[in-house]
Amino acid sequence: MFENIETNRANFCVGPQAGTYCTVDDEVTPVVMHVKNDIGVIIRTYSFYPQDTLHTGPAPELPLTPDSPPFTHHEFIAIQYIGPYDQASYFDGAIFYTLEKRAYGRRKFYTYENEEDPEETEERVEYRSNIVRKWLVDDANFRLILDKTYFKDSDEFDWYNADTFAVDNVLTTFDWHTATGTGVIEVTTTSGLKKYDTLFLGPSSDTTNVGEVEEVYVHSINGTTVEIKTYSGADPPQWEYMQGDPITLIKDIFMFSGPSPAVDLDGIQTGYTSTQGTLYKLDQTNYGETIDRVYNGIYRNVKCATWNNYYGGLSFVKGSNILHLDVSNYEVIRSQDIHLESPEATSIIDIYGIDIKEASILKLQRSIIQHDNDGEYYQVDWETYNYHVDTFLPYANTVTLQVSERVLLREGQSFITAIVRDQFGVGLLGKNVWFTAEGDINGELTPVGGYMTTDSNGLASIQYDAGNFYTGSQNINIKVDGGNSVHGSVYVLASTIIQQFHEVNSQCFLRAVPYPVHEGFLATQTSVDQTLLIAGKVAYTFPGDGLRNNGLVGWENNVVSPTKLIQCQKVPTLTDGEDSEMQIKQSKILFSDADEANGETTEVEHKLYVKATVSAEREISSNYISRHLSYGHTDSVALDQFIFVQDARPAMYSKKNNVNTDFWIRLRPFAADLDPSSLVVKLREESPLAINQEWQDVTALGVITMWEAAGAIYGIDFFYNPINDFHHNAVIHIDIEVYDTTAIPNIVILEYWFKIIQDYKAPYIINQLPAVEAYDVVINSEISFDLVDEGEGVDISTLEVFINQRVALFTYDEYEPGNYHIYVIHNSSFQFGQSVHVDLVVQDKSDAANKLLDGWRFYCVESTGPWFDMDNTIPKLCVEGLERNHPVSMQIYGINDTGIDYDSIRMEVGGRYRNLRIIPVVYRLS
Amino acid sequence: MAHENIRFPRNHMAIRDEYFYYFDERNDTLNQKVSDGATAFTYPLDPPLGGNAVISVEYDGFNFWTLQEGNTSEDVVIKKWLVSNYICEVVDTIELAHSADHKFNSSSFSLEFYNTTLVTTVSGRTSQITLAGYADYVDPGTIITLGPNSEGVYENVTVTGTLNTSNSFGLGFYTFNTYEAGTKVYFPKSIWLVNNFLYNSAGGSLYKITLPNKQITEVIADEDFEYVDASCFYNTGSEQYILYVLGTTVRFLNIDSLTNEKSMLLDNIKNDQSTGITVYDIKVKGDTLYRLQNKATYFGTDYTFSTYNYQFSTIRPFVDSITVDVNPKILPSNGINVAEIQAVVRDQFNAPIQIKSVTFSDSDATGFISSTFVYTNHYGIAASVYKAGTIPGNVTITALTTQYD
Repeated sequence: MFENIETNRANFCVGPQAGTYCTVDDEVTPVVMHVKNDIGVIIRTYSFYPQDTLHTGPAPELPLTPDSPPFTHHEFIAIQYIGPYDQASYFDGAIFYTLEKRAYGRRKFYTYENEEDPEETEERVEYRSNIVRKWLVDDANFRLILDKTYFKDSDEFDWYNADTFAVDNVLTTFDWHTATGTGVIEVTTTSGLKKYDTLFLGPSSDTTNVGEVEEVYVHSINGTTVEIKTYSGADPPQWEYMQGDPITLIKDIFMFSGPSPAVDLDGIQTGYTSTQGTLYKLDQTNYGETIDRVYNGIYRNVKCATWNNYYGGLSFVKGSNILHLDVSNYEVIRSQDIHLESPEATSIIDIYGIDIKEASILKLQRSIIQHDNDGEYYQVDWETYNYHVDTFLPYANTVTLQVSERVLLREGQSFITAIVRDQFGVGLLGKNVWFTAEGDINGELTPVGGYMTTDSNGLASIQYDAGNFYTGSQNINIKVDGGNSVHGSVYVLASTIIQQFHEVNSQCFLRAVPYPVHEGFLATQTSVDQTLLIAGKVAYTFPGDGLRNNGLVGWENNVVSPTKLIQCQKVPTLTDGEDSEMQIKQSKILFSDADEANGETTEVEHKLYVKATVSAEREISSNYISRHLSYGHTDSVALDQFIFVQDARPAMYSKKNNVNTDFWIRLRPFAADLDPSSLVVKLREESPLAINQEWQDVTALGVITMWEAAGAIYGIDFFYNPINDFHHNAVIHIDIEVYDTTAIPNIVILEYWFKIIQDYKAPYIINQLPAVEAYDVVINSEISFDLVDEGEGVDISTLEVFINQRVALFTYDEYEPGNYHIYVIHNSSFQFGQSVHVDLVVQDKSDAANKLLDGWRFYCVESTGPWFDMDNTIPKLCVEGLERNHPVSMQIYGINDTGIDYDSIRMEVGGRYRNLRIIPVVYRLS
Repeated sequence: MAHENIRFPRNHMAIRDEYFYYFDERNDTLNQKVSDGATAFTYPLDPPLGGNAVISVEYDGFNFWTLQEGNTSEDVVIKKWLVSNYICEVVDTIELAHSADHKFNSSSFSLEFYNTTLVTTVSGRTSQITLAGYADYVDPGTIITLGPNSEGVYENVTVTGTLNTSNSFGLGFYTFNTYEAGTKVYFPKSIWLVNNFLYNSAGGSLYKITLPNKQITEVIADEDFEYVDASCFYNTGSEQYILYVLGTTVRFLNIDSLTNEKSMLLDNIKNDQSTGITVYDIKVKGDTLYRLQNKATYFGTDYTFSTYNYQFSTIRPFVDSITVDVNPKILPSNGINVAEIQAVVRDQFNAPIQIKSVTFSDSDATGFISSTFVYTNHYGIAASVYKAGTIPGNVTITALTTQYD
C-alpha cells in the first residue's frame, strides 16, 4: 500500500526526466543506475563507466588493519542529480554526483558494556575516507561517464566518514536568447553568482541544437548579464539557447562527517575525539579541496541531506525534522517536522535519502506513518524503498490541547485550548476546529457543538463543564482541517483526558425488599421484559450533601417516594440467598429526580445492584484509595459477633443483687486460647453513696483460672470478692478486656452491668434511755438512744427529736457507719410525776429515703412533800415560860423534791394565824 | 492502548506551553510531542548527548536543564540548554565530579526558578531593571534573562545590587535592547539534586547548588532521598517547595524551612492496592501534577504501557481516602454491647476533610448503627456506634463518602 518506486536499494534521487527517479543498484555487477517511474517500473538502466568504479568491496569481514594502505574496502552511499527537472528525456551531459565511503580496515573498540571485563573489545570497519564523483550521462550508450573524482582522506586535521552529501546548486533560466560565441548570457537571476562559479547551460531548446548542454564558468557579472568562459579556452556558449532554457549554477559540495575515533596506545578505540560532527565545504572547481569546515553537534550522525532550491540552502534530516541551513552563515533558517515518529512507536522510523523538487520533499523510506479520520495512527511497512512526499507549503500538522483543569469534580469547569501549528511549528490562522467530549454524556461544551476557528496564534478555546453523574475519564477530542492528506487524512486529530470523579454514586444499592417481595431480599422476575417497580431502601449516595435524601428513601413505609421513583427494567433471573452484593446483569434503573431547582425531571440510568444477606467476608480496614473506583470512597471493616460470656455471677444486666454479692465470670475463647496475662477486669460502682465511683482495676484482686472450652482451647474464669459490700441500688459496671493468643492477637472487649437491690428498710431505735415506759424516772434523767439502719445508714441530717411535742436539741456519735448514738439536750429537769414523750423523725441514706416515725415515753417519779425540822424549832418543843413576844420560828425543807410552795406556808400560833416572815434557807449538802 | 497519551520512549519529561519534551540520546534530539503523543517537532542537540542518556529534565521557562551521569557512576553532569534557531544547544555545564568530600549519583533533580515580569520599560543601554515579583530571590550575581521583547529578542543581564527600591536592581552592564513593561523575566536560583550518596558515603541526601556560582550550599541528609526517582520545583507564589515522590506519596519540602510541610497521596498503586507503580518524573503545571509512569491503574484495571505516559493528580484538595475502624472488633452477640465506629476522611495531602458526609452501613440483620449519616468533624472524623446484633457471625461495617466539588 502506498508504494511507488519500489527500489531495493537505499538510495535515490529525482531524475531529469519528468516522473523518473534514479537509484543505484550496487549489488549487481556491474553496478548500474536504474531509472524508475512512479509505479516502480524500470524504464531505463545506466551503467557506469569505468564499470567497476562503484563496486563495493572487498567484503568487510576480511581481516584488515587500519594502518595498512591502500584502502581495501569502499561502499557506495548516495547519488544526486544536479540540473533541470521535468525534462522530456534524459540527455547527454546530465550531471550526477555520487558519494562513497571507504575504509582502511577494522578498528577494535572497547564495548564498555561488560562491567566484569571492561577491557572487552569488538571490532568494526573504520570508515575514514570519502569519494565524491561527478558523472555525465551518455544517453546514447545508457551509461554514466566518470567526469571528476574527489578523494577526501582523513588526516590529523579532518576526518571523513560522511554518509550523505549535497551539492550546492541554483536553478535558473536564460533571460534572453543567446547565440553561440557571444561570451555573455542573460540570466534570470544572478543572486548568489560569483566569479568562477560553474554554470551548466541547457539542455537547449533552440531548434538548431536541441538538447545540447555545456559547462562554463562565471568570469564577471553585470546586472543579469554574465560574462562566461570555458577552461578549454573556446568562446562560450558553444550552443544557442532560447529564453527560458535552464541554467544550473553548480557551486560547492557539502559533506557531513562524524568525529575521528579516540584511540589508546594499543590503537583500540576508546571513544571519539569530539562530541560534534563536521560539515565540510568542498570546492568542486578545485579538485574538491576543503575550503571550509564547521563543527557542530547537529552535524553528527546525519544520514540524509540534499540541496534545497526552494529555500536556497542545505537541507538535512535530524531526528524527525528536516533542517534547512543557510550555508552563508551556517544558521538554521527553518526546521520542519517530516512525520517520522508514530505516537505509538518508541523510536523514529528510518529515512534513507531525501530529495527536494520545488516545494516537495521526497523522503526515501521503508515505512510511513499514517493516521485516519478518527485520529488512529498506523504504520505502513514496505518490502522495498519508496519515497514519501512532504511539502514546504504550510499545512495543519499538529494540534495539542491545553487544559486548565485536568481533574474535575462534580460540575467542575475547565477551559480547553487547542493549539494548531503547521509543520514549522507556526500557529495557523483560520483553521476549522471541532471539539467533542466523550465519556460524560452530561458534560457540556461551550459553544455548543464545539466548533471554533483558530486565531492568528493558532489558538481556539472552548469551555467544558462536567456533569453531575459521571466518574471516569472524559476524553476531549479535537479535529482540525487543513492537514496534509499524504499523512492519511486532511484532518489532524488529537485528544486528551480530563478525569472526573465522584459525582453520583453510579451504584444504587437495593438493600432490601423490592416489590413484589421475594424471600425478603431479592427482586423477583416474572418475565424477561418485565418492568418492575421497586420501592426499597436505596443507598443513593449523592456526593457529599444530604439534600437529596441520601440514605433512606421510602423505606419505613415501604412505599415509593414520589420524587425517587426507581424503575427496574429487564431484570434477569436472580439467585436467592446470594451472600454478596451482586449486580443484576443487563439491568438499569431509571432514576427520576424531581428535586432539581428548575423542577424538571431528569432520568439517569444506573446499573442495579442487589445487596442480599450478610457477607461472609472478613476484611480488615486498610487504606483504600478509591480515586479510580467507579463509585465513592468507601471503606469497610469487619467485626465478629460471638458468645463471649459463658456465664456470669451476678448475671449480666441482672438486678436486685445483694450488696454483699461476689463477682464471677466465665469467658469463652473465640478461636484460640484467651490470654490470662492480658486480662483486665475493671469495676465501677455507680452510686451516690460510693466513695469512689471511678473505674477500679480489680484484676489483681481476683482469682484467674483457665477452663477448657472445647478441644484444648481455654477460656478464663475470674472470681472476685469485693472487700466492701456494694451499695444498695448501685449499678456495678464491668469492663473486661482480654486478648486471645493468635499470631496477631484479637482484643475482646466486654462491657456490662448488674444492679444491687434497693434499700427498702427504715432506721430503727434501740437503747432508749430512759427506757420505754419507765416509771419513777428521776426528773433530771438524761435522754439518749441509738439510731440504727440496716441498709445505707441513717441520714442524721434528717433527724428531728421532740420532747413532749417540743423540738429538742441533740448531739450524736456515729459509733459505726450509718448508726448513731443520740444525746437529747434538755436544760431543766422534768417535773415529778411528769410523763415525758420522746418522738423522732429520721430517714436513711438510701435513694428511697426510708423514713422512721417513732418515739417512746417514760414517767418521772412522784413528789414526797415538805419536811418540818422539829428539832430546831424556836422555841423548842414544850418549852415553858417564854415571854409573850418571843419569836416563833421553824425550818421547813423541800429537799429532793419539788420544793416548797412559798405561798402555802401558814403558821397558826395561839389559835390565830400569824404574819410570817419567811427566810429562805440554803441547803448545803455536806 | 487505552490511557496512553504522550507515549514517551524515555522516562523524563518537561512541559512547555502544553507540549511535552524529552531528550533522545539515540537521535541526539530534543523531541516535542503533543498531548496525544504525536511528534510536533524535534530539535537537534549541540553538542550531542553521545549516547549518554538524560536522567532528568527541567524547564525554567526559558532554558531546559538536563541531568546525566558523568564519567563514572559517582559523577553527574547538569547541562543548561537553549533552544535557538531550531537547535537545542548547551549554554552552560555543571560538572559534579566525585571527590574526597562528595560523590554523586542521582535519579532526579529540581530546578528552583522564578518567572516574573518587568514593571517598567527598560530602554536600550539601561543599567537597571525593576521586577514585578520575586525580588527577594535576586542576589548580586544573579543572571536574569529578559525577553522576548516585542521584536522577539532575549538578553541575559547580571544583577549587581539592589537600588533605591527593593525590587529595582542595578545591572553589571547596559542592556542591549529595549524591553517593554510586562516583558517576561526568568532566573534560576538553585539546583536541588537528589543524591544517592550522603557526602562520600552511602545514604540519601538532597544537595542545594546555588546558581550561577554553582556552589554546594546545602546538604540535607535523609536516607529517603536514596529512593527518590522523581522530583520537581513547585512555586505557589508565596511558598516554594521541592516535590519528590516516595512510594505512593509526594512530599512537599519547603525550601525555606527545609521541612516537609505536607505530603500528598498518589494513586500510583495497582488495583491490588499494595503494589506500587514507579513514578519516573513529575511536573507541576497549574494545579495539576503530571506523573510519568509506564504503568497505571484506571478505574479498577491495571495497565502496562510500552511507553512512558503522564498520569495526573490535582493539587487541589479532594477526598482521597476514607478509613473506617471499629472498636472493639469482637462483640458479644447480645444485642446490647456496642462498638464505636470511626471513619476518617482525608484528602490527598492526608489532611482531614471537614463537614463531609459519611454514610455508615452494616451487614447484620439485627444489629444496627445508631447514626448512619454523619458529617466529619474538624479532624475529619465521622463517628457512630454499632449496637451488636443477636446472631453470632461476621458483620461488615461500611463507610461511604463521595466527592463533592
